[in-house]
Amino acid sequence: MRSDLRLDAKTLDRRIDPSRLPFETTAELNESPGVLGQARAMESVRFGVAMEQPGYNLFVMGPSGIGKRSLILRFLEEWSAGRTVPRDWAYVFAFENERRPRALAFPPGKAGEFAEDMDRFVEDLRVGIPAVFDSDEYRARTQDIEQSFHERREQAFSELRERALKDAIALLQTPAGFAFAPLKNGEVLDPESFSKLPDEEKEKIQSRVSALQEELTKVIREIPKWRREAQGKLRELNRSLVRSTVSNLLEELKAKYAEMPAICAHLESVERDALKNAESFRLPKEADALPPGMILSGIGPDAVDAFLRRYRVNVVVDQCGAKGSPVVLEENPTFSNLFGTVEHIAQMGALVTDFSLIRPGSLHKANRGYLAIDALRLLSHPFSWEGIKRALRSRQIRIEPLGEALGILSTVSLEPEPIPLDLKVILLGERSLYYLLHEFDPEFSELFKVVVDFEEDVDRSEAIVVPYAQFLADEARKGKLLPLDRRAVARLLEEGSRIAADAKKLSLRGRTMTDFLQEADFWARDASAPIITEAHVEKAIAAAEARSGRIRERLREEVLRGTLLVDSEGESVGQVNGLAVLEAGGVLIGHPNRITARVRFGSGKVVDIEREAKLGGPIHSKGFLILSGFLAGRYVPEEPLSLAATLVFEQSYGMIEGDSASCAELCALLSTLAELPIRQSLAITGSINQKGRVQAIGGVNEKVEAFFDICRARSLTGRQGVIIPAANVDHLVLRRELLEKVEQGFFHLYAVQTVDQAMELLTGIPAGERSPEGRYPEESINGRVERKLGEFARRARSLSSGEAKT
Amino acid sequence: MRIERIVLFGQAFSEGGAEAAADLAARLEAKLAYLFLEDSNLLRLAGLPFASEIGIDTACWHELELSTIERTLRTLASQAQEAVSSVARRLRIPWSFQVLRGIPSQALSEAASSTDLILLVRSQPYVGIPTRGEALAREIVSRSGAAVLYLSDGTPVQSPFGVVFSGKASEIPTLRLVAALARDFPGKLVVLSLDSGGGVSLDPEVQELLQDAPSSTLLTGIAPKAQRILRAAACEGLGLLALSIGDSPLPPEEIESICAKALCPILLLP
Repeated sequence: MRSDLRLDAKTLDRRIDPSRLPFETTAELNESPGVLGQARAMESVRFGVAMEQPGYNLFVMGPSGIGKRSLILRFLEEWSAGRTVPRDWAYVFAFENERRPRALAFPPGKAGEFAEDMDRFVEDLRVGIPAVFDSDEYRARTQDIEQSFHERREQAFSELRERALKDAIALLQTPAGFAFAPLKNGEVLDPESFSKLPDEEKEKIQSRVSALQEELTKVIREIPKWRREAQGKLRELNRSLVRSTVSNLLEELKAKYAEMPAICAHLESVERDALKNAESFRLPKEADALPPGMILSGIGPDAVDAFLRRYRVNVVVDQCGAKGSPVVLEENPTFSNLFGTVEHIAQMGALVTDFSLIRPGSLHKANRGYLAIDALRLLSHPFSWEGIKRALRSRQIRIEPLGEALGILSTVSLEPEPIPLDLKVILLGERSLYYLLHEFDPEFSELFKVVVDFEEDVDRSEAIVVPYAQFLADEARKGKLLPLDRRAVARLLEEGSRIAADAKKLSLRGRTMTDFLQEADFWARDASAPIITEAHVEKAIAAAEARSGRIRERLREEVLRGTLLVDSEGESVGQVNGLAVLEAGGVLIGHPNRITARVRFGSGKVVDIEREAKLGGPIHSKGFLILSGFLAGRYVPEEPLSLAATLVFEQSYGMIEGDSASCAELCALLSTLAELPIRQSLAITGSINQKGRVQAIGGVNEKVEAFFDICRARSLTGRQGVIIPAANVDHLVLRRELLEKVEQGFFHLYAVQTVDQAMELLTGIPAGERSPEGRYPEESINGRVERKLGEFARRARSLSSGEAKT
Repeated sequence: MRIERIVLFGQAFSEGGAEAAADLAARLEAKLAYLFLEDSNLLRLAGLPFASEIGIDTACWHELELSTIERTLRTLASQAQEAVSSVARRLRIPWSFQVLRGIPSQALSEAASSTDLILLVRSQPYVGIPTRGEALAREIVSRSGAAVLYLSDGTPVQSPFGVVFSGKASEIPTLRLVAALARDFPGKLVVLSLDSGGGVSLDPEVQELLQDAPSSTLLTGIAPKAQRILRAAACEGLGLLALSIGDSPLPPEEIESICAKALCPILLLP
């Protein structure tokens, strides 16, 4: 056994000496930690936020739980405080085209004031104008107009009637109109008498009747004109009464908003409209007959109210009380939530709307500020992404209700005037999303020019230890958690390295660290402790692992019961303990797997059973082919490779991916070729290159611990251990229990750089190096392998020459 | 004088008139009778070869046919009957409906009796030859001996109750009727005594009636002119003014003028 490859306990010890921490408990750490290890990201944020050119929106990427959102929001809030407060916006009725409500801009906080002023104006109108219409003066004047119309009509009829009577002809009222008839003794001449009249008389009567009928026609045709004139007078009367009330009320408002031309123009429109629609201020009589709930807009007891709504103001952005530019986080970026919508109300079975039902979206609220959105959620909601791009391109917020745009809702709707848009959109998402968008959406790179790439870990240097402790202290304070003593902090720092899977790094996954902190606080409080100690942190870590440990436990149980065949003692030819890792629910689970190899004379084909059974992924297949390349390149280079070999992950029934078992597979193959048994007390992980060098793999801690757990459960003999790539030594941050056993010599870790070193550890036989003559020592591993392959080659040669003779 | 029937006369239904008549019938415990009149002038007109009518709203001429006129009148009559029955049922009063055909004043005078109170509404719609309501009212009273209440649509009969009295014995029944109304409703009795040229000497019965009334006023020296009488009535705020026209010193045109211009309902008696 090569002891020089063994890793001693000191090398593996990743603990931080608590005495190096300059505090007793985190309660002493009051300074803000600032932003840990994200200098590049924060510089990008500063640039992106300060850059005022269009298209410089930000995509903040990094894994979830790293604190992107809170850091960005904190930065934006600090950045925006004290900056110019943007304008208020309100929608008002558009008198020239009521389907297209007008957007009015106001200085910050003024829109609400204007809305209140207009509400008061409406209230004054609502009370004042009906009072004018109810006045005795108005009644008298309207009666006068009506009376004058009736008299005019009656006079016309009366004059005609008088003229007709002079010729003994009566003007009769029929059920539907008027008719002329000759009279005799005050009564209509009966048809019999008429027929007896001389023809001349008859003609005279008929001719006179015809003349009168023409005159009557003229009179009746004049009546609508007279009625219109009367209505015109009535309208003018109404207008004059409304004018005095409206103008008096508006004068004050016009003076107040004289500095704002758009508002003054709107007030002018209000005045014109009020005069034009003076009639609408009167309560129609027909409304009295309608039951409640059947009132149409513009009719009914609320008719005046309904009409007066048009003078109210719908404030969509109110910056009253704002101290800087807005920072909005849209948690649910649906199309409506982003761009606003036009709501409808049901009236008499129909959906109706007006400008007062326009609802703002987060773009309105964040305008001239910052809008943060989760990228995945944005992309998940139909049309939201397209809408955001359109808005950023056009630099306008256009409210287009989705239902109408898609034709789902077929009803009368509005086209509110677009509002100018000037804001920074900050998308937060995983890196993969950024790359996908960059690849597949040509507009993305035009609109999101600033990438903010968050680091997942930071170098574990002396300089970071205290800021990291400050971060933990800050989190504890914010979460109202107990303070941590220095040992607890040291333990959490160590765990930070384990999460980073690198002894030289500390994880920046704030959420995971905060979770540990909160769980440690729970156990501390459970034990009525005043502070969080190392034991509480240890318990939190162990409990978290136990909670997610069901699969790991079951796998171990199956090995111990012999259902899954993994030896931890003895020797066997062509059989090695490989180590695999699987991920379930964000937890890495390591487990040992038996790998076996069989060889025989053949055509030079090495068969990976996983690949043949389509259970091997592409990276696994690549590793396997590299292995074949190594074999062909190293041994009997001048002869054809004449073996048939099969390799398999025993008792594996799912997909195998990755090349971390390629070194183990090669070892099993070499063992078979050399006919040398492999120690089953060792497990091995690592990938191999074509030159036989062992390369780094992932999940090394979980793999080592998985084999350790099996060995410990059976009995630690002092011969057991795991061979890992030397490049992975820095990634080892092992459980403390395992470290103790290493220290006590019950378990070992070996770091290898070549497959030769691995084979020497597994077989106890030297690998052997090629002599200057080009031959490996006879009894070395390589010598035995080459001898075997040479035999296969000779047999192949003799077979091929025999075939040639025949 | 006992009122047995409240007669509503109409050529087209008037809701206000029907309500007023039914209300009065209920108060006086009288029967409500609706006399629907088909003006025979209209039927004659339809028989003439050149008969045609112009629509009041359309200003279009079209020929008039007898069958069309008759059908239209029948429709109007059935609408009136339905409305009257509805009002009468609501107030639980006995009622009748009759269709008359003829010249309005003649037909109505013939249908009415001295125990009837006939309601004529000022703005009542009519078809046929236009008839001045005031003249019609006076003519009915003269011919039939029935009382006629001439009122505007929606104007209630209420106290104070006034009566024009010139001192003639023939006017005593009228005075008595109005005094009875003042007693029954009850209300103030106002006697408008016309200036007959001599002094004021009231019959003992008149004095008795004045005394029996809950309250009463005697206005004397009123010139027998419509304008003076109306002014006195307006000053007193009368809710009804009764006139006996049989032997009245007021000429017919003055009586019609009172009917036309009065603000309150006018009760004409023989």
